[in-house]
Amino acid sequence: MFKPFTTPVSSRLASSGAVILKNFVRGKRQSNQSASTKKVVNQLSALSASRKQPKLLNLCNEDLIKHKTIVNAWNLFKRKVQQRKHLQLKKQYKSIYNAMEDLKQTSPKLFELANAQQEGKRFPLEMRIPTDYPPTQPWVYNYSPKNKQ
Amino acid sequence: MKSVLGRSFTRAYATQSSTAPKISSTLLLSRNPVVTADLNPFQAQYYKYQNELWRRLMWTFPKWFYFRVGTISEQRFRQLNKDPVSNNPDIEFPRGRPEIRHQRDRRFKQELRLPKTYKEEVEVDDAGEDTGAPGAPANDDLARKIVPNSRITKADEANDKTSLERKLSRTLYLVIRNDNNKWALPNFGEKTEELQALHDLAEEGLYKIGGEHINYFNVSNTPCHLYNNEVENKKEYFIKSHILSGEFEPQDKSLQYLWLTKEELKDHLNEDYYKDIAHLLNDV
Amino acid sequence: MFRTKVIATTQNLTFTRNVAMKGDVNLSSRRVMRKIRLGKARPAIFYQFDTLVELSDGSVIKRRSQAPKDEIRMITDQRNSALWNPNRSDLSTSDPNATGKINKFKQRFASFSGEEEPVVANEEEAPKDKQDDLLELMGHNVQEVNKGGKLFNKKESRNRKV
Repeated sequence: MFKPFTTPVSSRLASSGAVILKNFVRGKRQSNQSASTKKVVNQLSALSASRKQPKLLNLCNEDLIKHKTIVNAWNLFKRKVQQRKHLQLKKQYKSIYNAMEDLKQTSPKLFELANAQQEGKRFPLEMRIPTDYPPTQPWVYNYSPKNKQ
Repeated sequence: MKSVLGRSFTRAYATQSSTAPKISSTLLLSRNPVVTADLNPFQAQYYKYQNELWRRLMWTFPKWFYFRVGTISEQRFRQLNKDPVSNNPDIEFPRGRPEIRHQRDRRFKQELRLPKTYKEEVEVDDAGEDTGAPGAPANDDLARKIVPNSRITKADEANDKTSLERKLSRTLYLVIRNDNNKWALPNFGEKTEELQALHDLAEEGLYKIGGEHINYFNVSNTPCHLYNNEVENKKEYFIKSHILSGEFEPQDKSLQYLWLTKEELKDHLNEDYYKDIAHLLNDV
Repeated sequence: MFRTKVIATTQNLTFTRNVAMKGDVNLSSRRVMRKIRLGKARPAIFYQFDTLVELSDGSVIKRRSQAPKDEIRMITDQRNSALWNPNRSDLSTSDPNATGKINKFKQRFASFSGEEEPVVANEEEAPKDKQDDLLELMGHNVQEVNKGGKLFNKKESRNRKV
């Protein structure tokens, strides 16, 4: 009367709930892996390249030259930006040096004060990294210092 | 040897001038960019090119890993992403046979759409037209669609140069109109009675003209630049700082002030003065 | 028979684990790694979605992410946390640490625990009165049991030695 139960079911198959629910699969061999093996295989399949890699990019000569030109132009652009930045930093350092040298001559006391170690100085917590799109209120006008009162 | 010579020279210079130049500190108060820098056309094109290359070389999305078979989310995902045309041997493909692996044609990039948390009335059933307005959800609804704010603000549209909300992608610098009716960075002369560090002088001066409602960060006590103002017989030491929050509110009603970018400073400042300080200003 | 079978199956079900144990995972030994020849290696580029991340103050960041989510909304982050914004008064969160289970419990039942603590003004009188009341209730010849005894005092013991 209870036909499905009279047929011997191997304990391993019965152990996985999926087999009980879907005991009929057309044209597909039922794997006899344990649940944990299946899980690991699934995880590995997400990491592995098998059958997931796209076709290799085969550029023709013309395209290759185009690509190289683009990359060269980009490198040139980057280099120029870098050089400009470097030059600016150099100038800034020089101007700091000049200012301090001059201050040493004109007012040694102020020089001492300007050169003193700034202990307990922290990077400001409220400084924010630029985002791609601005906040709803672009600027924080609410400033109520706690330690001053 | 060299230092001795230098010292003697400066001494000679000091005695030559009728009165010793007055020490003053100039505040270079900047507002850092709020949004990322604008890309120039070349950068934008290059990034687009690289992005397309990257998309083309990406592996197939492991759908089975993120969406378990038989769940509702998997069903929704399948509804949005139809399988590509299969490689039917009976059909002629004039532009090359499709190579299907894991429901993806590996000759092309894979484009996927994800189910949304909010209601989206597009092409789930073949309506064809994008109706657009999904019946405005409540503003505090956490599942609402993300609509980025515009990078161009109201202050930009009104060209309000005194606002801190203008030109969010650029660094702005505070300039005020000084006694000679010329635009310049705020400069504060030293008091005679007591010795005051340059950064204290700058801070006090800033609070005096702009109110104490300013949250700012002083980069360093060390001056970053020296400008010899020969007209007023002044030595201007520059102190760099960033405004973090709060607002510059002129205490004196007649005081005019502006928040300007580097290019605009060039138009407003005295030419020699600008040339002297140009390297302190940020290009971005 | 039917009943026993059911029991057997349920028993089997209880033994299934979701965690892979040692010797539990049997990967096929037939898998042969293909040799990658020189210059033929290709980088692993996983599929990435273009994701918009909205921070709590409405600013949006564009980024790529492997997870299948293209819109992420932060409820609390650096932009509205009182810890990161020490000089703002318009932030609604009263307690920045009130996120855990215990804090939720405390918030809910704070009114009950408040009764135990006496008011500061009559701090000296109130607890004494309470104790007296208790003693009266228990009877006349009740002696108070001092539970807990003396605590070890490091300072005192050191003094004694010297």
